[in-house]
This record gives sequence, structure tokens and C-alpha cells, in this order.
Amino acid sequence: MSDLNPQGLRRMLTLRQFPLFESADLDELATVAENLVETTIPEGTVIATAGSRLRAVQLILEGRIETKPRGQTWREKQVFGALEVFADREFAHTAVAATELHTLQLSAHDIGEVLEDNFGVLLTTLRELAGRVLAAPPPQRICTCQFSGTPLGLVERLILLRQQLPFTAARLQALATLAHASDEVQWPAGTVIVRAGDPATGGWILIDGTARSVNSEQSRVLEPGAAIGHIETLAGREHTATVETTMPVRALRSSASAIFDVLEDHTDVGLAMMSTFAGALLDATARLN
Amino acid sequence: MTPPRRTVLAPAVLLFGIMVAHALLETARDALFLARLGPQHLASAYLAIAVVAMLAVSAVRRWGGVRDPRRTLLTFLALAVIGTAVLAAAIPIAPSFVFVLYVWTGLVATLVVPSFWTLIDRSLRINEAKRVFAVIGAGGVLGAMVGSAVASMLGRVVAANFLVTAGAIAFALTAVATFVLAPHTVDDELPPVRKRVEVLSRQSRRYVRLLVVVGLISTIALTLADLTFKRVLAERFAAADLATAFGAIYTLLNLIGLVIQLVVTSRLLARWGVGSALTVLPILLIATASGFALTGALIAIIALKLSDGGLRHSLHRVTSEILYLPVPSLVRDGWKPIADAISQRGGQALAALMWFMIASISARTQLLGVFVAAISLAWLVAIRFANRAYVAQFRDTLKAGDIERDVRVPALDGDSSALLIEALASPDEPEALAALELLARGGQVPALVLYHPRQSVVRRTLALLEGDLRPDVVRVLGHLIEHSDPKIRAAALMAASRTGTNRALLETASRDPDPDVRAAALVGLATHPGCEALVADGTAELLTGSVADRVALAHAIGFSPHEQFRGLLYKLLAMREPAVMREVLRVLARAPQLADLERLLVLLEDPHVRGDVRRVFIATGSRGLDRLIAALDDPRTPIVVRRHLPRTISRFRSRTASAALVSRLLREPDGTTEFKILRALGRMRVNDPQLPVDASIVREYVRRSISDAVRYTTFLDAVTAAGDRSPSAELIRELLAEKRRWAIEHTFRGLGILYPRDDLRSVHDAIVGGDDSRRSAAHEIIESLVTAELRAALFAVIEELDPELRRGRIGDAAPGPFASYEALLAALLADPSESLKCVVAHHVAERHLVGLRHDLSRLRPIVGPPLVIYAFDQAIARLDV
Repeated sequence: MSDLNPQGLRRMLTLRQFPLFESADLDELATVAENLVETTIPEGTVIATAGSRLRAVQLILEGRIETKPRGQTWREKQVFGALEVFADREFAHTAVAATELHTLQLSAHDIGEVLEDNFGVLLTTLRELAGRVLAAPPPQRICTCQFSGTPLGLVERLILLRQQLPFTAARLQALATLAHASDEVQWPAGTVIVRAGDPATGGWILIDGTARSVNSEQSRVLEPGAAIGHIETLAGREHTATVETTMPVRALRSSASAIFDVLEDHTDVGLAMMSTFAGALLDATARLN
Repeated sequence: MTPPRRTVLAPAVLLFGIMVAHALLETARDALFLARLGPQHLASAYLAIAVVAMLAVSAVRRWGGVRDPRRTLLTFLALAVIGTAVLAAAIPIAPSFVFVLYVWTGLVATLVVPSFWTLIDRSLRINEAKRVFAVIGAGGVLGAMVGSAVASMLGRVVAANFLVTAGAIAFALTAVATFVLAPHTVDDELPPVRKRVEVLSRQSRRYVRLLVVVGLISTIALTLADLTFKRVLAERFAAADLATAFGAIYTLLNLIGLVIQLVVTSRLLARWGVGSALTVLPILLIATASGFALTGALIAIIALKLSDGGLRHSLHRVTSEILYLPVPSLVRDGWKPIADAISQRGGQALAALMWFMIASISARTQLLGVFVAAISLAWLVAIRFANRAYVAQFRDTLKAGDIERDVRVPALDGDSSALLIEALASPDEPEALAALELLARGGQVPALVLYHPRQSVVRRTLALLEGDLRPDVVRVLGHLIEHSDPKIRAAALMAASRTGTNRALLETASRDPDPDVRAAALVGLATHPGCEALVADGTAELLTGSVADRVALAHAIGFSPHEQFRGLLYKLLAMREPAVMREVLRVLARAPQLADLERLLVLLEDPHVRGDVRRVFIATGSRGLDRLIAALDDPRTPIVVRRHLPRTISRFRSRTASAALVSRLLREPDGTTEFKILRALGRMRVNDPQLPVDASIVREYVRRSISDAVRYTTFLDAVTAAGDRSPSAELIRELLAEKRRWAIEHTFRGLGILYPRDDLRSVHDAIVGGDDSRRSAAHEIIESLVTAELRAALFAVIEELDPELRRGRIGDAAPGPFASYEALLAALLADPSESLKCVVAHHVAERHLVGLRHDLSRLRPIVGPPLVIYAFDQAIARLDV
């Protein structure tokens, strides 16, 4: 355990101005602050070249970063490069300091460890990313698995969980813990599983049967393998759609506390989720472009 | 991993060449010097070498060419060729050049040999170095031997001064070989991005200074031993025979050195480690020098020289070089030539001065033996310090590449407080709130913040005060009773009711539309006689109202947490609304006498309030700790609660807490709870390394974890070798790899509890990470901590080895070998891991391995998690179809 250096206190106050750290625990904030490097970058400096990996995430205190030629901009209190670093992907464009920049840098090499050691910050970051994924959901995955009518065993549960976006990169041990803590539920046709606007308290994955998901913009059919509520739970948000069964449905239910317990015990799962979410968001941006 | 052949052979060839040349020159200089000038001038020659070497190294360092060790070595070799050739021509003309030759030989050795090792240090990592330095060193010993033998033969047929020409030719050939074979260095050390790198450089320079001290002492001891030996030899042999005699003796010594280098050095390093291997030569010197001092026997001085000659250029050289490997190249490249020059030539100069001093005391050679023994003893002590520093240097190297963990917010001094108070006025609300929180942590929230223009800041202030109304706060709140913000008004009301507000004011406030004000008034009225009905009705209304009503009620009770509110608090808690529960738990943390531990224990399951529940338990002191320990030991405690007990217990940070956790470590049946115990203990010990733990239990746990790692690694090797590519077999492989990683992590966490100051977390990260230099550093730290017995098994599982080689290293501890794939799967079904059992049972059914039907029936658990029992039933059913 080490004491925060004298500049650290000022840096903590600065960090608090970033939405990501608004609710961070003070000790965690101190640890993050201690691992940052304060940097001044002259105007015109290339921060990232297209196709290169970023060496650090930049928390912008003053100034502006712009990409060329598209002109995407990052300003004060925004974080530059986080998605690429989380997803371990190359930066798509060339980014330059549009003005003189004053930033706090967190090395890409360190970011995983900092988050792993500071669960509160990890959770906040994950929540933020999950919220953004909700706003730009990736295309629905097709479930390749088929189950008999008998209850699912551990292996079937693992396979089912692994097909969901948050758990695609999770380790088996962590998923096994979640699988043990999950249970099977059944509903007859015409049951409302969740209502839009209700707080999310867990996630369901359809094993058999179909359901209809309706929100203000669209209505779609959910088939076996489809997930309800996992990302909302991770984002700490309300359900975005009402889901009602259209035929008898069997589903695997994981409570919010089971999901968060797994995250707390297996921080690598949280990091893997962040990487998956960041990748999905970058893909969504690429699709839009 | 075995280094490529060229990595070993090329340096060995170069060192061979250097040492052939040096041996030729050394023989020539000794013969010429003793014959023409006599041993009485040896000490003066050493002094001259020291002065010249220091001047030369300083000059070279100033030129700045030392940054590329390859170029440096080539330059020095070229200088050696030219200088030696000039001397070969000059000596027949002017015999006084013999003295210059002696100094020159020493100077060349000072510059060329350390430059060679600096180059090699740059191209190898510690684990490679330990394996290949012996072979490289053997090249050197062989070179010295061949050089001496050639010198001896030439000495019989030509005059000694022709050996100098031979030396020049040998240096020229070596320079060409160096140009062709010397490795090009690549700097792949940690990128210097953190301030810790600067700290590391400072620590490294300190470490190098310590090595200089060790080097100085060892050189003094070895030089005095050498001078004693030469003096005895000069007394016994005729001047004309000295070249032949020295050649023959050096050949014998080098032969011993070569045998030691090839047969002993690597084994000794692997078995004993660097620290112990370093002690061999000084111990032998103490024994032989003492023998000579006591008896004056020739055999003792010969044994002394045999020890010196046999080990100095083999074991001693290799271990001394290894000591420099943890030093970052940035420091090493610049400082090692100087350190070598100081320790070798400075040591020789000091030895020469001592030689003069001893000669002035007595003419008896035996007195030298006393000094050699005494200095060797000091050398032994210095090695002990150096070994500690060696491991610490690796630790610092790892730390330099790591993040800062667990940073503590410091106690606020005057400047910090001023900064925070200034930040309270920040237009940025989060910044102001952060400043407020930091001030609150130091108990320094100024009462005047309650006049802050931002209501959010005032509200947060009131929340941070948590009902703790200091007199200055009460005075300020008294002025805010008419404030527009109901929360502030409510707090003002509570403050006022403490100082005796009139009942009428409270009764009016109890009808306020805002629940905060109403709740504050009702709690205030509860102490007024005759208001029971009003309070009961009012609180019942709040209790059955909205969540905000209930939060307000709980918050108000927090200002006055009397026994009379106990029932109300538990009614609020039973509603299972996180916001209300948190508020109630805050009250209980402030008034732990109201805490009902049985009701609180089950709430540990709820992640929304777990932190608050923990705070209440801590507030209850030993009562709470005893209950938690009992729950951990009680098998009826639900698993969802049990898993949160270790961390809760660890928060007490007491001996009782650590003892309870340690005693549970080997008995805990639930893997997740066991891991949490491990993590909790690790954190407790890092925060307070003085906290006692029963080391024998933790050691046993480490042993068990290594055994798990061995088992899973062997299983993984066996499953991989079986070559089954079915999806379920892939799943088994993946799970085994995770289990192996998990067991290794457990091992390191266990070691972290035993050695909390050694930062085992970084060591583990380095071992599982992809950086070879960090992994090598971690390897050395483990070597210093783990007993030889466990070390072999641990290294066998963490290193990338061929499965057969690994099995050979692990020995009987490895399960198997398995007669068939079915036998392997049967062993996996019997493993304690529940997940593994399930996946293997699934695999057996998927591959329809009916031969395992009996094993499935036999190993089917009778009790345990339903999913595990179900996995066996499901597999049996599928096989029976």
C-alpha cells in the first residue's frame, strides 16, 4: 500500500469531473489517479495513426482531438481511445491534437490491471459500455444449439450462456459458477416476462418456445437462444421492451446478484465483457460509417 | 526453452579467443616481470594497473561509446591488438617496457573481459544465463588453458618476449571473430513510462555499489592469495624455469576450472541458486588460507591456488556475472565497466597496499594467510547482503513495470485542506463534491459549507455528516430552519430538536407536505411526552407510503437512533428496498446496539446492500466477528451467504479474524469460498504484514495447490496427446487449462500470504504474462522463496515444456501414465472438480464410451450440487439408450 503523491489529490479532483469517475470510491479514485501520467501535447501532434494500436487512453483535460479526414472530435472531460484499447483493436483513422492538449494518460498496458484491481471503476465502465450497447444493439445472433425437452445439464447451460454477447469471451469456470446459480423457468403462452420501463433484475435466455419483444420502435420475435435483460441488468437500466410469450416458453434465468457475484469473483469476466462490448460498439460505428 | 545453439557457441568461441590471447600475454608478462624485475615490484604494478584502468574506463565512458556493447568490445580488441604489437616490438629494445607490459595486460583484461560480458548480459535473460553461462565460461576456461599450454610449449623453444607477439596475433584473430560472431543486442526491457523506472535506476545504482564492495573484497582476497602463491613459487624456482613452471601450473589449474565449469557450475546453480554458489570460493579460501597460516605447509598454499584457479574463472566468474543481470541495461551498460574496474583494479591496488603494510609488519609469508582468511570471511558476509539485494533487485524490476496498487488517500495536511476548501467553490459540481468527500474523510467538513450556494453540495454535506451534528454545525443549521430545500430544512429541524426546539414548531412541521421534514419532526416529537399517537400515526403513514417516504423516515431516525425505533427500523429493512435498506443500515452502523445480527447475516447475499451490512458488522465489534466466524464454520449457512463471509471477516483486520480464516483454509469444501478466504487473507497481510498467521497451514495449502497444478497440467498434457477434436473434448481441454491456471494462482496467493512484502501478485502476473524478461525475474524470486522440493514441481508446471520432460521433472507426483483414453477419462471423472466431472460425463455420453458406464455409476455423487448428480444421470441414460 502506498500513499498518494501530492499531485494526486488535485488529480483526483480532476478525475471526478469525468462522468466515468463521478461515483467512484475515493480509494479507487486515488489508485487510478496515481497510475495516470499528466501530459501536454502540442497542437498538430499525431495522437494515433490509422491502423495503429494506441499506447494509452487519453483523458482530455483541455484541448481537442480530431480524426482526419472524418472530423470526429473528442473534447474536455471525454476519453479518447478507450474502445480501441478495451477491444484490443487498431485505431481506424488518424487522430491529431487540434489544439494544444492537456491530458491524463493511462497506459494501454496498465488499463486492464487498474480495472481488475478497482472493481468499482470496472463496474462503472462496464455499466457505461453496456448502456451504449443498449442504444446500438448488435445484430441478433442465431442460436445453433438444440435441446431436448429434458432439463439442461451444466454443459448445455455453458453452451447457452456462451452464445450471449456478454459471455462470449468468459472463462468456463466463471460461467460454470453462473450456470450453477441459474435456474430453469417455464411460462405458458401469453405471459408477460418483462415490461418496458421495469428495472432489470436479471437475465433470461430462451431454451424452448418463442416470445415477442415490443418497444416503441419495433416488434420482433425472440427464438430459442435469444436473451432478455442481461445487458439491461449490467447497464443498471430499465427494460427497453415488453416481452410476452407467444407459446409455452422454457428459459434459463440468472439473477442480477448471481451475475454481479460472478463479476466480483472473476474480474476477468468483466474485462472480457468490456472487450466484447467495446468491439460490438466499434463494429456498430463501422456499420454506420 | 533451450536457447539456440548459436546463442551459446558464438560467445563461447569469442571468450575462448579472448582468454587464449590473455593467457599468452599473462604468461609472458609474469615470466618477464619476475625474471627481470622480481616479485617485490608486483604490488607497484598492481597499483599502476588500478590507476591506468580507472583513467581508461572513465575516459571511455566520457566518449559515450559504451552504449553499444558490441562496438565497445570491437574497439577494445582493436586497441589490444595495436598496443600489444607495439609492446612486442618495444620490449627487446628497452627492458623497462616489461613493467608497461604488466600494466598493459591488466588494462586490456579490465576493458575487454567486462565488455564481453556486458554484451552477453544484454543478449540473455536470467534463466538462459544460468544455463548457458557455464558453457560460455567453459569456452573462456578452455581458452585460458589452451593459451597457457601454448605459452608453456612456446616458452621452451622461444624467448618469453615472443609470447607477446603471439598474444597480439591471438587478439587480432579474436577481433575478426567478434566482428563476425558477436550478437547484436536488442533492448526489450520494460518501457520507461513510469516514475518507478527512475526509482529503479536509483535502486540499481545502489545495488551496483554493493556489488562493487563485494567485488573489491573478493579481489583483495584473491589478489593477496595470488601474491602469496607467487611469492612462494618465486622462492622455490629458478628464474629461467619460471615461464615453464607457470605455464604448466596454469594449464593444470585451467583444466580443473574447465571440469568444474562443465560438470559442476550449472548443476550447482540449479540446485543451490546464485547466493549459495557464490559462497563456495570464499569458504575454500578461508579453509586453505587458515591451513597455510597455521602450518605454513606448501600443500596448503597449493590447495589455496587450486581453489582460486579452479573456481575463479568458472563458478565465481559465472555467478558474479549473473549478479549483474537484474540491473537494467541502461544502468548496467554505463556502470558495469566502471564497477568491474573499481572492484578488480581497485581491489588489486588495495591488496597491493595491504601487501606493503603486511611486509612492513613481518617478513613471514604465513601472515598473509591470516589476512586472506580474514578478508575471505568478510567476503562471505558481503555475499549474504548481495544475495538479498539480488532478489530485491528482481522484485524492484517487476515493480517498475507494474501499476501502483492500493493507493491510500493521505491524511490531510494544511496545504491539502486549503486545496480542498478552494475546490469546494469550484463551478464544477463533481469536483466540489469530491473535495467535500475528501474533507469529510478527514473529519474536516467546515460548517460554513451549509451556506454553499449549490443545494446539492449542502445536501451531500448533510448526508456525509450522517447525523453527527457537531456544535458548530448545529449552530449553522439553526439559521436554516426556513430553508427552501426540504432536506436542509429537515436537517435543521433535527438539529434544532436536539437543542430543545419547541413542540409547536415540530407539530407544525409534522404536517409538512415534504416527507423529509415530516419524518424529522416525528422523530423529534418521539421524545416529547404525550405525542405517542401523533408519532405512531405519522410513522405508520410514512411506512406505508412511497419509497421516498420510507427513506426519509430511516434518514430521520439516523439523527436520533433510539431503542424505541428498533422495531420500525426492522420493518423498513424487511421491505427489501435497496434505497431504504441502505439508509437503515447506515443508522445501524451508527447505533450498533440496535443491530440484530441474525437478520443482518442473511442480507450479505444482497449485492445492493452488502457493503452497508459489512459496515454494521464491523461497528458491532467482537459480537459481530464471533457471529461471522460461527457462520463460516456452520455447514448450514447458505452458500450465497457463506461466500461473502471471508471478506466481511477480513474487514476486522484483527488476529482473531485472520486466525479464523486461516483455520478454515484447508477445510473449506466450497471452492469459491476457499478462493475468497485466500484473497481476504492476502489483502489482510498486505495491509498489515505484521498480522500473524499460522504459516504451517498456509504452507500446506501452497503444497496442495502445487499438487493441483501438477495434476491438471498432467491431465491437460494427456488429453492434448489423445488428439480428440470433438467439441466436448475441446471443452475439457479448455477447462483443464483454466484449472491449471487457477491452481497456479492459488499457489501464488498462498505464497503471498506467507511473504506479504514480496509482492507475489506481480510475480504471478509476470509468470503468466508474455514478457520473457519479467518471467525470468519472477523465476528468480520464486527460487529464493520456495523450497527446492516444491520448486521443481512448480517450475515444471509454469514452464513451457515437452510433456515427457515435464513428467520426468514432476516424477511420482504426476497422475498416470494412463493405459488408455478411457483410463484417463475415468481419472478425470474421479477428480474433485465438479465442473470437470460434469463436462467429462457429458463427453463420455457424447462419444458413447460404454466402457465407462461402470465408472459413471461408481463415481456418481450421492450428495452435492444437483447439476453434478444430474450430469452423471444424464450421461448414464444416454449410454443406456
